[in-house]
Amino acid sequence: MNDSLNNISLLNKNRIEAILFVSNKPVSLNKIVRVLNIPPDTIYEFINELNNNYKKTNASFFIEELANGFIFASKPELDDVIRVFYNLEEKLSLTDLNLEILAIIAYNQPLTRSEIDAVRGNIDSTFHIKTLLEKGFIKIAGRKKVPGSPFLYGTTKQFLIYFGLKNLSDLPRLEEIKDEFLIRGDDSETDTLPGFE
Amino acid sequence: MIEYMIHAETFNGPMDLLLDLVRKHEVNVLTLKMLKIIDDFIAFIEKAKKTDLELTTDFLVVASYLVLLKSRLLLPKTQEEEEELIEEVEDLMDMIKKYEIIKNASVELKNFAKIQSKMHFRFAKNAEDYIDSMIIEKEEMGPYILSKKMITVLERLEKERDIVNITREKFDIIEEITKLFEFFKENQYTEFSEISQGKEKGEIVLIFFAILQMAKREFIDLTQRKNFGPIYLKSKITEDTRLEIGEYE
Repeated sequence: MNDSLNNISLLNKNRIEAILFVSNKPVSLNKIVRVLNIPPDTIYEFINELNNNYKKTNASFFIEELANGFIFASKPELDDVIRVFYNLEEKLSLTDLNLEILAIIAYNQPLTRSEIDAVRGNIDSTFHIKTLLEKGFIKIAGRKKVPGSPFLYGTTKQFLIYFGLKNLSDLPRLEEIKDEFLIRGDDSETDTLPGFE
Repeated sequence: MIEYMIHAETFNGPMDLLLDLVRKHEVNVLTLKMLKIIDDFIAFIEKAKKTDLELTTDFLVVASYLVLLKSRLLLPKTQEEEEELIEEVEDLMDMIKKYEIIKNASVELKNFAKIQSKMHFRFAKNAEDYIDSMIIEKEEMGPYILSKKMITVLERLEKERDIVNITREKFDIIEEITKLFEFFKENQYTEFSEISQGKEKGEIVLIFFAILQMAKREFIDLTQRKNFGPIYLKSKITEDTRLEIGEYE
């Protein structure tokens, strides 16, 4: 009885490994759940075991959790050789300004262009939104139900992949407001104009 | 006055500059702090002008607002006006604070991307395409290799050119009108979806054009009670009506 159970879980582990092995993009967790009929927790367990095995044997790859799914990835230590062999360029193709706007969208999505502009001091972001759309980091996620029904923007799967995020809740947490950034005086009474008390 | 020129090129816009100034001035009194920030902001723009540094117009837009704000801060005002003004400055500070959080988040995201870029996946395209095929060992070099490489390059160019054949669909509006004309000789009423049922998109468009033409020539009457509602067609063809095809040519 115990043996056959072991066999089944070994088989399922192999199945997951094979599914991921042939894929060149993240395989969604939901799809594995549906096809193999195993609960997500067990899938995570299997993938952990697989990764532990790879680690033990010092394999050159591992299974990365990415964009609501899993994918085989080469170890970061091997970045150099792969870059040279496959003639790859540095992947960072976003300017700081693009990144800033992408961050605004990622943390507040879905939102409209004017809402993005507002965070940046009402500065027009049309051009940068266009760039981000073209590069596939954001998509139009609907229209806001206000006069003019402006487009709402949200992030894409490619965004998750590019930044190595498991899902949107995996975004770095916005820091709490730092103490040193207290801009208001402690005593509110001092908040009067100089020479006008 | 603090020197900002070193940083000039690294500001991602006026908010970034404002944030930098907010951090620099450690003054507890809000309005005083704001005045100092405004002065430095203007000074920065003046300096940029002198050194031919190109600033985006965004900086000037914010600068003009700040100059107005400064004049309002300095002019005498009623208690009520003053409270309003302080609220406005607080809002501005809040905005800068929110901007700082987003800016830090974007720096964090950049680090994430850097880490992720070190991990590589299976190629979606043929991996061979990525290998630099132009690297040839010295001793291998010769006319044969060169011609072979040339062929590879040409083949790749050929592959990358996506050839799509578009066949012209043949629709004949005269034929369609003739068909409908015959139909309306026999039938008094019909509905658009009845005659377009099961037809392809292009054909439906053709039928639609045909019935518009027929309505124009008063062969039929068209009725539609509401937008996207059914279109009813009523025949006006009598025995005397003649279809003059020539008109459509």
